[in-house]
Amino acid sequence: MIFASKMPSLRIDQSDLKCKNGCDYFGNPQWQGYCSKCHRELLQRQRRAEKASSATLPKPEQKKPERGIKLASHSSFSKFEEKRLRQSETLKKANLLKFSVFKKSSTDEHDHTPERKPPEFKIPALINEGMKREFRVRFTNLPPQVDRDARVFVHSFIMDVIKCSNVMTVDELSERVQRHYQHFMKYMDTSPHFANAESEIKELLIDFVEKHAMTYLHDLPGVVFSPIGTEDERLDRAMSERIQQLSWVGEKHLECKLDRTDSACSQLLYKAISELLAVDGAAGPGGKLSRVRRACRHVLALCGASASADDLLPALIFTVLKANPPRLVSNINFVTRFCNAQRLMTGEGGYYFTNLCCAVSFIENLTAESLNMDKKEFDCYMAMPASIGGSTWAAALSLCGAAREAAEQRAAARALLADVATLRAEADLLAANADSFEKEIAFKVNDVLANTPLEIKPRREPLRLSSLRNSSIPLIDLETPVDTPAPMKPSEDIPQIKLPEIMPVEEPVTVTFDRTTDEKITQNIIDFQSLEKPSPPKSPQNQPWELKQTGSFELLTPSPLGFTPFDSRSIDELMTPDDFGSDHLAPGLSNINYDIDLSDFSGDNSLAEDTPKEPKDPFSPDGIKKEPVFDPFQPQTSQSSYKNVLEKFDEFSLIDSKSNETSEAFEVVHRTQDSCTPAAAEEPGDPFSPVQKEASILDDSGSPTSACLLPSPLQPQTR
Amino acid sequence: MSRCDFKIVLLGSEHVGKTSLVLRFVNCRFNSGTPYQNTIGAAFCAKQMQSNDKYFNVGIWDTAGSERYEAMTRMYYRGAHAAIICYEPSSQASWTRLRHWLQELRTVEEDCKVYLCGTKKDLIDGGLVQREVPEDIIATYSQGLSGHYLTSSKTGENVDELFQKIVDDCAADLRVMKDVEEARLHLQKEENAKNKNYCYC
Repeated sequence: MIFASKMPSLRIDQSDLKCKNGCDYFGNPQWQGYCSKCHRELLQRQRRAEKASSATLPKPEQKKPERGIKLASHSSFSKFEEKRLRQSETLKKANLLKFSVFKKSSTDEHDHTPERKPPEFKIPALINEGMKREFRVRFTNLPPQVDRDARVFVHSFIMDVIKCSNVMTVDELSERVQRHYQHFMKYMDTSPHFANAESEIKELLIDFVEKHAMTYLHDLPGVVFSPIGTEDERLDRAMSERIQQLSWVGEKHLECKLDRTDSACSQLLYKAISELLAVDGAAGPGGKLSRVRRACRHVLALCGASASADDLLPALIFTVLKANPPRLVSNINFVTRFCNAQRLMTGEGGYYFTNLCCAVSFIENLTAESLNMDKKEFDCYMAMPASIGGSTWAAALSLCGAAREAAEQRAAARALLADVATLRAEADLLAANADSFEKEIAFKVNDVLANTPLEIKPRREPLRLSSLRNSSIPLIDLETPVDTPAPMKPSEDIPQIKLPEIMPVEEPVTVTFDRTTDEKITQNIIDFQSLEKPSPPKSPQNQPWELKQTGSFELLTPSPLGFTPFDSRSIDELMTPDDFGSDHLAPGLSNINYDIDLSDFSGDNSLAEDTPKEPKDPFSPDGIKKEPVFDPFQPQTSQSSYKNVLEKFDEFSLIDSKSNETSEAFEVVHRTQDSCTPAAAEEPGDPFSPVQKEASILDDSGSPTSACLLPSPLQPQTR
Repeated sequence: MSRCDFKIVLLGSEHVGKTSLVLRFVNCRFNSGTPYQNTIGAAFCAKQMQSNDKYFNVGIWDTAGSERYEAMTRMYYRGAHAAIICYEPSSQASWTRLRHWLQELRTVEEDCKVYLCGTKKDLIDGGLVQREVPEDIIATYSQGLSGHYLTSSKTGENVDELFQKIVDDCAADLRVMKDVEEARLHLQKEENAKNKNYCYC
C-alpha cells in the first residue's frame, strides 16, 4: 500500500526497491526507502544536526501564542528587524544550549530513561532558604510538614518544567503547569497535613508555591518567559513600535474623560503608568498581576467615583498607549500561560488583567473605524513621524514626573524638618538638663560650703595640742584627771563614756569628707593632696595603729570635740612641707622623707588608680610591717610609690609620736602600737600600766571615726 | 481575598443600564452580607452571597458596551459561570445586539448560564417609554436560557432576585460538578485498580 502511494502505477520497477542512496542494497519503506545502513547513517547525521541547533524543540512555525495576539505585520518591520530578531533567537538558543548542557537535560533525553537519569541539575539552595523563611513568617500556625510539602512540590515542579521546557510546546507546558497547580490543590485537599487548614490558607499556600516556583523559572532564559519557539519577543517589539506610532491618539479619540490640565488627574495617570512599567520587573505571575491591579485601580480613580467598564477600558487603553510598557506581550502571555488559572479567571486581578488584554488587543487592531475617525485622517496621523504625536501629553506627563519628584523631595524635606524639630527639642532639653544640673551642683556645693564653712580653727587646735604634747608628761597628767574616775569604776563604764562621745561625732565624720575635697583644692597648690586623700579609705579599716592616722586626718577638719589624739600631732607636722624634715623627726629619717617627696610627684598618675587598692594593704598589718623594712631604702620595688610613701608616713608618724617616748626602731614601734590596745597593754604589766592603759583607752575613744566605725574590736578588749 | 467562587459577566450595549444594575445590587443590599471589598468604581464588584447556608464570593465583571470593543468581549466571558445579557425593552437596537452575544455565548462558552435581563422596568411601568421588543419574542428566546428577569435599578425591583437565582443555580451546579468530579475520580481509581489486577494476572 505504501508503494501504491508512491507509485500510482501497479507496476513496480526494481529500481524502486533499491536503496535511494544508490547502493546496491534493497531499500525499505520503513527506512524511508533507504537500506538499513544508509538509513542509520542518515539518522545519525540528522541527530547531530539536531543537537547543534537544539532542533528537538518544536519548530517556531508550529507554535502560536496561546492567546492569539496577532499583529498585523507592519510596513515598518524592515528586513533589518527580521534579521535582528533571528539573531536574538539564535542567541537565545545558544543560551539555552549552554543551560541545558549545564543541567544535562533534554538534548540527550531520549537516550536515557527518566528514572535512570540522576538529576544533576540542582536548584539553588537560595530558593529553599527563601521559601523556608517566608513560610515561617506567613504561615506561622501551619505544621512544618506543610512547609516541607510545599518545598518538595516547588522542587519537583521546577525540575519538571525545566525538563519539559525543551521538548514541549509552550501550550503543552502551560497545560502541564496548570496540572501541577491542580495536583497540588488536590493534594492539599486530601493530605492529612492540611486537614485543619482553611480554604483561604490553602489559596495563600498555592499562591506561595506559584510565586516561588515561577520566580525562579522566570529568570531562566527562554523557559517560561517569552519561551523559545514563540514569537513573544518579536511581538513585544512590534507592540512597542505600534504604540509609539499611535502616540498621537489622545483622550478625545478614545472618548475618555481625562483632563490634561488637572494636576490630580495627571498624577494618577503617572502612578498608573509607573505601575504598568513595573509589571516587567515583577518576577512571578502573581506579582505581575498585582501590579496590573494597582495600575487599573489608579486608572479607575482617574475615571471618577462611579466608573464603570465603559470608562475603565478607554482609560486603560490610553494609559497603555502613554506608558508603552516594555515586553508587554511577553508579560501578558507569561501570566496567561503560567498563572494559576483559577485565579486568573476569577477575582479582581483577573478582571483587570482581562481589561489589559483587551486594551492590548484593541491597540493591535486599532483602525480608523475603532476611533470613529475618517480613514484619511487616520492614515495621515499614522504617516506622521511618531515623535510629533502626543507631545502634549508627553509634556504633561513629564511635568507630572517632575511634580512627583518635587513632591517626593518636599516630603523628604518635611521629614528632615520634623527631624530637625525633634533634634532641637532634644537639644533644648539637654541644655535645660545641663543647666539645672549645673545649678543643682552649684546649690549643693553652696549648701555644703554653708554647712561646713572653711575654718582654720581645727588646725590651730592640733598645733596647740602638739605644743602641749611636746612635753609628753604633762599631757598624760592633764588627761589622767579626766579619766581617773573611769578606771576607778568597773570596766563597763568605759563604753558608757564612749557612747556620748560617739554620737555627736558622727555628723562631722561625713562632713570631713567634704571638707577634704575642699581642702584638697587648697592643698593642691602645695601638692600635698596625695597625703590627704588616702587617709579616708584607711580610716574605716581601723587597725589599732591606724586610729592615730584617722585622728590626724580629722585634725584638718573641724572636729567638734576639743579633744584630739596626741598622735595626730605628727601628721600635722607633716602637712607642712617645712615641717617635713623638721626637728621632730630623727635626723636619719629626714633624708628618707625627701625621697618620699620626689616619689610623691612622680606617683601622681598612679595615685588615682591605686587608691582603691590601698585599703587592702593597710588592712593586713604584716604587709605594712614588711613594707617599711624595704621601702625607705629601695623605693623602686614598691608597687606604687605613693602607697609606700603613705605607709612610710604612717610609720613615721608612729615613730614620731612614739619616738619621743620610745626607741627609733620600727619593730619596737609596732609592739608599742599593740601595747596601746588595752588587752595587750595589760599583759605586760608595766609599772606605768594603770596610767598608760587609761591614756590608751582615751586615745581610742578620742578618735571619733574609729569609735563609731569600729566599736566592736574595742569593746571586747575593754571588757 | 481577590478570589471569587463565581464569575458573572454583564453584557449589553451601551447605556442599557449594566453599571446601574451592579451598583444597585452591590450598594443596596445591606441585609444579607456586606460587600467584602471596597470597590472603586463599578467595573469589578465582589460580594459575598448566601445559598443553601453556604457562602460564596461572587465577582461581577462589568464590560464596556461600546460597539468598538465588541471584539474584545469574548475575553471577558471566558470561563464565566454566568452571564447576564442586558437589554432595554424600549430599544430594538439593544435587542439586536443581544442576539449577537447570545449566539456567541452558546457556541464559545457552552457551560455558561445565560440570563436575560430587561432593564428600566420602572420606565415601562410608568408608561414613559414604549415597549419595542415584543414579549413573545423574548419568551421564545429565553426558553433555552437559565432565566429572564425584568428589573429596575431605580426601584431595585427584581435585582436581588436575579442575582440570588444566579447564585443558587451556580451553587447547585457546583455541587453537581463536584459530585461528577468525585465520581469520575472514583471511577478512575477503580479503573487503575482493575488495570493493576489485570497486569498482575
